[in-house]
Amino acid sequence: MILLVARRDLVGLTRDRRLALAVAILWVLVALAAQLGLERQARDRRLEEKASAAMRRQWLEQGEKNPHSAAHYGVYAFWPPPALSAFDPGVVPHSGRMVYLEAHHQNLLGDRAADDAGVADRLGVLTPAGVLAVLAPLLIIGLAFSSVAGERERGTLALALALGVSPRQWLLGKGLGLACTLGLLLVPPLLATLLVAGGGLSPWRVGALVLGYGLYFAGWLGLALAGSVWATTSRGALVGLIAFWVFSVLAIPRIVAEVEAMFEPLPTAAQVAIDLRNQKGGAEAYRARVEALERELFERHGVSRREDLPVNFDGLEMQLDEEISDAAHDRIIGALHEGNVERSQRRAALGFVVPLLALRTLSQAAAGTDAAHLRAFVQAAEAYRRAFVKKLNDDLAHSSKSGDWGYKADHELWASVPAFSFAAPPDEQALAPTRSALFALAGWAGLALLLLAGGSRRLHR
Amino acid sequence: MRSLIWTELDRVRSDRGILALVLVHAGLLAVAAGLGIADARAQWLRFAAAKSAEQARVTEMLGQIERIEAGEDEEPPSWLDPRDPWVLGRSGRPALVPPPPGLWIARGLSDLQQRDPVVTIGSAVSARWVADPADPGRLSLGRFDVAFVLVFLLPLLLVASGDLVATDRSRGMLAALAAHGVSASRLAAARAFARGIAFFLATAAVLAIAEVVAGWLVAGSTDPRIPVATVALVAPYIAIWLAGWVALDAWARSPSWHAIAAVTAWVSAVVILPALVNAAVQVLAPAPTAAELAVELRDASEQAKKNSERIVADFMESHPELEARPGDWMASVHATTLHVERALAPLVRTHRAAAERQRAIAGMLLSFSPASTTFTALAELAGTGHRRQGRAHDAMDGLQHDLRAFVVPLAMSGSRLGRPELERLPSLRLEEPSPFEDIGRTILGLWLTSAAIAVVAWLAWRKSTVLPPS
Repeated sequence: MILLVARRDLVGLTRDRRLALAVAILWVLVALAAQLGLERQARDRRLEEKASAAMRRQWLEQGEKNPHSAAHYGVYAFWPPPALSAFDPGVVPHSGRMVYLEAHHQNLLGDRAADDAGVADRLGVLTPAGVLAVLAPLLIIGLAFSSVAGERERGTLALALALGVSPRQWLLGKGLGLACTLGLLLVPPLLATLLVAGGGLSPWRVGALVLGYGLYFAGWLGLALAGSVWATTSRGALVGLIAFWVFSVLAIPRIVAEVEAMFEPLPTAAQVAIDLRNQKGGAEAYRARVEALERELFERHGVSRREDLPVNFDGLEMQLDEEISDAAHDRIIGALHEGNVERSQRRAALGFVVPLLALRTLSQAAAGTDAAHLRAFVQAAEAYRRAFVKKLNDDLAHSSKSGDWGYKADHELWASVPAFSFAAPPDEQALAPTRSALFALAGWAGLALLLLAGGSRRLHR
Repeated sequence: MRSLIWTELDRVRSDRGILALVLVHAGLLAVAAGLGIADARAQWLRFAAAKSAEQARVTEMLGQIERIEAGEDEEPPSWLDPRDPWVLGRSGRPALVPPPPGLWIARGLSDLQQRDPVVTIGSAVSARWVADPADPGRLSLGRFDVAFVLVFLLPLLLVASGDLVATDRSRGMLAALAAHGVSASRLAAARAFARGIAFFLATAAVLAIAEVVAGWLVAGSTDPRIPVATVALVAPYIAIWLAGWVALDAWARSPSWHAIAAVTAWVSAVVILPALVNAAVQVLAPAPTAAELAVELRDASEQAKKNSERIVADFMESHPELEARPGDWMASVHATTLHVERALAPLVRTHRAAAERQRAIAGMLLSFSPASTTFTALAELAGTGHRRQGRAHDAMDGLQHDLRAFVVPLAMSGSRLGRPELERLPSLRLEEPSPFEDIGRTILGLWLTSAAIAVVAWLAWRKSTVLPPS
C-alpha cells in the first residue's frame, strides 16, 4: 500500500508542468553557478600560481643584502583555492587571500574579494552551495505543501482513509513518493556539480557533503509534509512554510550575526597593534631581557664587550625580539582566528532549528573554505614566516660580528629558504567541525519527522 | 473608485490577518532599527574613544618632548625620539572618519571598511589592502538592517496578505459584484492600494519613532532627512509590488495558484535576479586583485632601492626648497617611496579604472532589479555605500599628502618637533557627500518602473477572462 501511494505521488508530481519548470530553473541556476564558480576558481588559481612564482623569483633575485633587510623585504603568501571552492567559496571572499610575511610582525590577511564588490553583493551571490541551500528548500515546499492539505481540500484524503488505508501508511507513502521525486531532482545536480568542481576529490569530503545536504533536504521534506498535515488549507500550509523558510534561511542567520556583532565586537587593526605592543611589554621589560641575554653570552664566552663575542649580538637580539613578538602574536592574532572557528561551531549548534547555519558550517568545512581551513593557512604562513626570519637572523648572528651592519648575504642563503606551500589539513582534521554540524542536521531532520509523526494523528480527525 | 478605496481601507482595518502581517512588518522593522541604532551608538562611542586616544597620544608626546628637553627623561634612541619628524611620519595619524549618519538604516559596506586606519608618510599602495580583523563567517551571513527588511521582507509580507480577487472569483462573488457595477480590476487595484497604504504607514511610523530614538541615543549624529528620504524611496518600491500584484491577480486561476505565483515572483525579484545581476557583473568585469599589484610593487621598490642614490639626487634637485643632509636615511626612504608610487601610478590607475568599470556595469545592470536598485540607493542614502567610501579614501589620500607636506620639510631641515608644531598637526578633512545625490533620479526611476508594471496590469485585466462578457 505504501508503495502504491508513493508511486501515485511520484507519477503525479513528474507530470506537473509547474514543477518541471521550477526544477528546470533550479538546475539552470545550479549549472550557471557552477560554471561561474569554476571560472572564478580558475582565475584565482592562475593568479595564485603566477603571483607565487613571481614572489619566489623576486626572493631569489633580490641580490646581495643584509639578512635583516631581506627579512623586512619578506614575501607574500597566497591562499591556493581548493578544488571544492567552485562549489562553495565559503568565507574566503570575506577573509582575504594573501598575507605579507615580514620580520617582527604577523600581518592580517588582506585583499578581500568582498571589498571590491558592490553593495548589492550583500544581497547574495550565486554559488552552487547557495542555490542548493537557499532555493532548493523552496522547491521542496512547492512539492509538498499541498500533498496532504490539497487532498483534504479535494476530499480524496477521506476517500483514501475510508478505503482502509491507515494514516501512517498513507503518510509514509506520501513521504516516500516525495523523497524519490526529490532524489531524482536534487541528487543529479549536486553530484554533477561536485564531479565537475574538481577531480581527485576526497571521498570523505564528498560523502560529508552528500550526507549533510541529504539531511538538510530530508528535514525540509519532513517539515513541508508536516506543514501540509497540520494546515487546514493548502494556502495556509504554503504561507506557514514560506514564513518559516524566510525566517530560518534569510532572517535568523542575519540576526545571529547582528547579535554576535553586538556582544562580541571585534577590535580594529589599530587596537590590535596597541594590544600587541602591550602584550610584548614595555621598553623596560624588553631591555631587561636583552641585558639578560647579553650577560649570559658574556659569561659563556668569557668576554665583557659585544664586539668580542664570536657571534653578532644584533642577530641574536633580533631573534629574541621575534620570540617575544611571537608569543604576543599567538595570544592576540591566534585568539582572533580561534574565535572565528568557535563562533562557526556555535552557529552550527543552532542547526536544530536554523538548519542553514549547520549546513553552511558543514559545506564550507568539506569544501575547505571555512574558518578552520583559513586558520590552518594563517598558521602555516606564520610558521613559515618564523622559520625564514629565524634562518636569516641566525645567519646574521653566526656569519658576522656585532656592529657589522655591512655584512651581506647572497643567493645561496635566499635559496636555502624553501618556497611557501600550503597543504590543506588532512580529511580527518578538516572534517572534524562537520561532526557537530551533521549532528545538528540529524536533529533538524529528526524534529521535522517528529512533527510529521505528531501530525499523522490529525489525519484520523 | 475613491469610495472603493475607503471601503477597502475600512476592510484592512477590520481584517485581523492583514493587521497581523502589518504588525509583523512593523515588529521586524523595529528590531532591525533597534539593532542598527545599537550598532550606530557603538560606532559613535568607538569613534569618540579613538578621537580622545589620539588627543591623549599627542599630549603624551608633548609631555615626553618637554621632559627630554628639561633633562628629566633620558635621550631616547633616534627611532623612538618624539622630537624627530620622521618618527611622527612613520607612526602617522589615524584617519578618524565619523560613522555615517544613516548607519542605523543600512549597514551597506560599513562593516567592510577599515575603522580609524593609521595614515603614514609610507607607501599608500599597500595600505589599502589592510583590513580590520573580521569574522568572515559573520560577514558572509549579511546584516539584518532596515534596508533588508524593506527590500526583502516587506514585499513578501505584502503578498502574503492574500490574493486580491482570486478568492472572490473562485467563490463566484465577482459576478455578483459586477452586477452592482463594481469592476473586478478596480476592486483589485483598490485592495492593493489599501494594503499598500497600511504597510507604508507602518513603515513611516516605525522609521519616525526610530529616528527619534536614534536622535536621543546617538545624539547629534543622525539626519532626520534620511528616514524621510527612505520613506520616499520605499513608496515607489511598494508601488512596483502593488502593480505586479494586480497584474498577477488578472491571471490567477485559484487562490493557491495566486499564492505560488506570488512567492515565485518574490523569489525571482529579490533572491534570483540580484544574484544573477551580481554574477553578470563578475563575468563582465571581474574585480582586480591586489596580488598582481603586490608583485609589481616589490619589483618597483627593489629597482628603486638599487638606484636610491640617483633617486635621492633627483628628489633633491626637484625640491630645492628642502635642505639636503648627507646620510639622512629616512630622506632616502621617503624619496624611494615617492619614486615607487610614481612608478606604480599607471598600474594603480588601471586597477582603479577596473573597479570603476565594474561599478558602472553593476550600476547599469542593477536597474533591471528594483530590489538591488532600492537596496543600493538605501546604502548610499545612509552613507554606507560607495560614494562616501570613495570620499573617505580621498580624504585619507589628502591626509597623507598633508602629513608629508608637514613632516618632510621639517625633517629635511633638521628641525625638531615642539609644542608649536604639535599644535598644527594635520588631521583628516572629510568632505561629506550629500546623501541625497541621485536619490531623486532613483525615486523617479522606481516610479516609472511601477508605472510600466501598472500598464502591464491594466492590459492584463483588459484581456482577463475573469468575468464572462455581459
